[in-house]
Amino acid sequence: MPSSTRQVWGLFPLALVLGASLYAAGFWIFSPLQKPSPEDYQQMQQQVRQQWQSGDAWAIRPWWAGRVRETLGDLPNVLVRDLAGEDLSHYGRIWVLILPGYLDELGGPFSDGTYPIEDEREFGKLTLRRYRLPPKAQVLYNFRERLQEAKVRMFSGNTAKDCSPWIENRWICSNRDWNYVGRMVVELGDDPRDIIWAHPSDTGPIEITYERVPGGRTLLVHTGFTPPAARVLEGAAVTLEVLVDGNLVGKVSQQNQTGYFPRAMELGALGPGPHTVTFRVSCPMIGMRHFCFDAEVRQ
Amino acid sequence: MNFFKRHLDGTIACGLALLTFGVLVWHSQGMGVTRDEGFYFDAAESYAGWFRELAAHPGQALQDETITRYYEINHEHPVLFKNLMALSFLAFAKAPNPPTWPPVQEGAYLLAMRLPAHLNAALLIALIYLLGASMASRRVGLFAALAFMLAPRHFYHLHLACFDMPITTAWLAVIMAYRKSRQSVRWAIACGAIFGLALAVKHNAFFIPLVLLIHWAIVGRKEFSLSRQGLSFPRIPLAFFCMVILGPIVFFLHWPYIWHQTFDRVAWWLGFHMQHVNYYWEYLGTLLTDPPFPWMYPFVVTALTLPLPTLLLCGLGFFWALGDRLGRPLLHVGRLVGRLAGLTAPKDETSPKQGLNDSDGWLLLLNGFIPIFIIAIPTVPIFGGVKHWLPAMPFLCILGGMVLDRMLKMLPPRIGKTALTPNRTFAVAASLALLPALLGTIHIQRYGTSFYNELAGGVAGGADLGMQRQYWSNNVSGALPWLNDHLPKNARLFLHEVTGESFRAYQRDGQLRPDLRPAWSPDDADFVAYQYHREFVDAEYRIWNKTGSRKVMWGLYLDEVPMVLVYDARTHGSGSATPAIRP
Repeated sequence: MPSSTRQVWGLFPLALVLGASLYAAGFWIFSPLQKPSPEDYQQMQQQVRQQWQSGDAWAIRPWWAGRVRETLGDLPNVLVRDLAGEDLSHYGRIWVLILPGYLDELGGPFSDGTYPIEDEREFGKLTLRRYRLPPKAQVLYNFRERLQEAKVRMFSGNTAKDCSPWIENRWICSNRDWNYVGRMVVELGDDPRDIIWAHPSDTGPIEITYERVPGGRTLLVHTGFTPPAARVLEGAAVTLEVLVDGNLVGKVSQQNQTGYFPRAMELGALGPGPHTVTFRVSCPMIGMRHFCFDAEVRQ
Repeated sequence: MNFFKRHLDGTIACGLALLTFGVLVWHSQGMGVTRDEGFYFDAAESYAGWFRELAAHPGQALQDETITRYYEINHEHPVLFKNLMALSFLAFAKAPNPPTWPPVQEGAYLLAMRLPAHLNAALLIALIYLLGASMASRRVGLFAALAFMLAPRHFYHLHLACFDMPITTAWLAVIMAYRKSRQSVRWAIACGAIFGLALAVKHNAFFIPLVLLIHWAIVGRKEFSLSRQGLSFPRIPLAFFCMVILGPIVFFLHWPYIWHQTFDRVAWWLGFHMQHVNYYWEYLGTLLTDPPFPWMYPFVVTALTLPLPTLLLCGLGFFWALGDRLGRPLLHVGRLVGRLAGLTAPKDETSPKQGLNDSDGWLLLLNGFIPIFIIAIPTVPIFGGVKHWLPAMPFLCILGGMVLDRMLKMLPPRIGKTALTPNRTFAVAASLALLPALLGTIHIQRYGTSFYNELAGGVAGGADLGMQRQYWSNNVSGALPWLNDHLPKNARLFLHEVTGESFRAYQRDGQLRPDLRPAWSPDDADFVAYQYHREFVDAEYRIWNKTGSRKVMWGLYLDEVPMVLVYDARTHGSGSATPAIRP
């Protein structure tokens, strides 16, 4: 190799270091200029509030951005990491607030045209998009929302004992602090989920019974364990049985995994109702079984 | 003037020390109290009581009952540094603020408690310079000292009354003394005593002999032989004997708690660290909970937290020195590859011997690698991020300075009419290489545990990558002014992840209103300052469960990444988040 070539190659590491220095200095000088200002957020929230409709929700990219909750935290929102993979069938439209540099993060139905963009505006460094979603799912009955109307019992052998009267957001089944059936937000997988906490008991199954539930096409159930529960080695599966008018229509065996796992059960053949729906939760070994579920009847 | 010229290295070292001390004293105003500091402050105040007792009733102060009364607290760590904090507290802490607002004084308590940390930082930066200057040149020493100090995570840790920087100083001091001990009996004795002080700072010191033994074996490798006459090996350095003898003596003397029931108490201390719990830690989108941990962890975290030019220089410097030390095998491989590629092997224009001698080279390499390697062992707890392998960094920074110097020597002697003198080119290149570290340090302000470098994409990039966003709860200090201004009188405040000791320290220091009462969970709080931690997201959801709302009152954001979110937790299920009334 000629000596001049060697010399050039010899200078490569120095050039790399100096180039990296320039890049890094530029990074700290220019990246703060990309930050949205408080005024950007203020204008954006005014726009959202002015055009907000029932059935709307908002989301933000990147998932971790939080400042918007100061201004829009009281409105329905979808705070999940994978927005493209999320079931948005509860909403008719979704407002997506996008920080600089995160426009490309919206993939799947947001970029392939499944969710058409109705409106797009810039507020300083913020981008606000409103997407039209497919027709909303017709939810006839949401079991979490109506948990207060349920009858909750815990079995001890063959004897059933009613859990306490409704207190704040839960039915308390014993003086063990985990032993209740309550309306909670917990972490399932990587995201917060609105669920019914139904930790199984070692004395026998827990039954949550709803009267006068309208019939529909599908009963959609989500189940999952919290991350701490799923970390337990050899954690036992929890069984959720769904009975309609005393007949078993579905059974979910939730394995020891964190997440928010859907399961649809057919109700069409059972007629328009009203029905009595019972969720029965049981597990042979209950240590750290932070089991959660939600359910709704859809048309 | 002649004195300074004759002692130029000492003068520069003193200048660096003064600069470091001044910057830290100025910058530590408003720096949050870490979880560990809260415990150490309480311990130091307790130990101060023992010093008072010692002055008043020396005989009684030496009784086990008295010692235990004062030293039982926080006996999971030796007390050298906490004793210094206790003395500083006795000397400089003023009387507590009266329970009025605004405070009569702000910052005096923390300054007194952190004064030993600032002095330690000054010493550390001076020592880095001296070692770099001694091994290579003044400009290399200067670069290494500044590269270490300006790295944002280092700069943050330099402020704290914790043991991570003191053990870095002690580790470096032992190595420097060991290096000099090869020609001096006095330095050998000093090495033993300093090793004792290192043990008295933190248990990381147990690994120093391992490093030195490996160094001894490698440097003296040619003197090992096995023959009919038996095994022969290089002369065992006097420093080793001094470390074995003086180390335990100094360690014993510094810690009154082990003057009685010595073996039981030392065994408890060692047992505590042998079975330390694994705190959860977020790493590349995964919550690390139990071993085995990824062996790449300390390398990846270093790569994402050291300023990019510093990282490159440290990496290049390490591999350059390693190549020099392993020159022959590497050279052979290089020649072979060259021949296979049809090239003639390049001449080695810069002889390895030109730079570092064998002993210094291995000292830098081993000390730059082993503290990181220890954390890479999959069963070793990984919480705490970079602070647990800080002792490696001074050595890597020196290697970084040396490789920069060496690379600049490849430039032509002049470009046009401009002569490229070594000092001039080095000053320009070093300034450029250190500029991002300085800018990053300014950018991250007092929230050093949240710093991620340009490679990661800054704080936001760290959040995208799923890296630990913050730890030690100190970022809450950014929320205190807002809380002081907006919370109603006597409100119950849950400072998430902040210990009771730290809560008291904020009030004692005049950073938090004295009427605010600590709450221990969102359930019994009026207001919550939640700090995002992947493992504690449940704490935030508990607020949502209680209030029925996700609305945030106020937040501390770094590059839009939420660090601390303040919630009004007074409402139950109504979702109201009405701005509170000023007190």
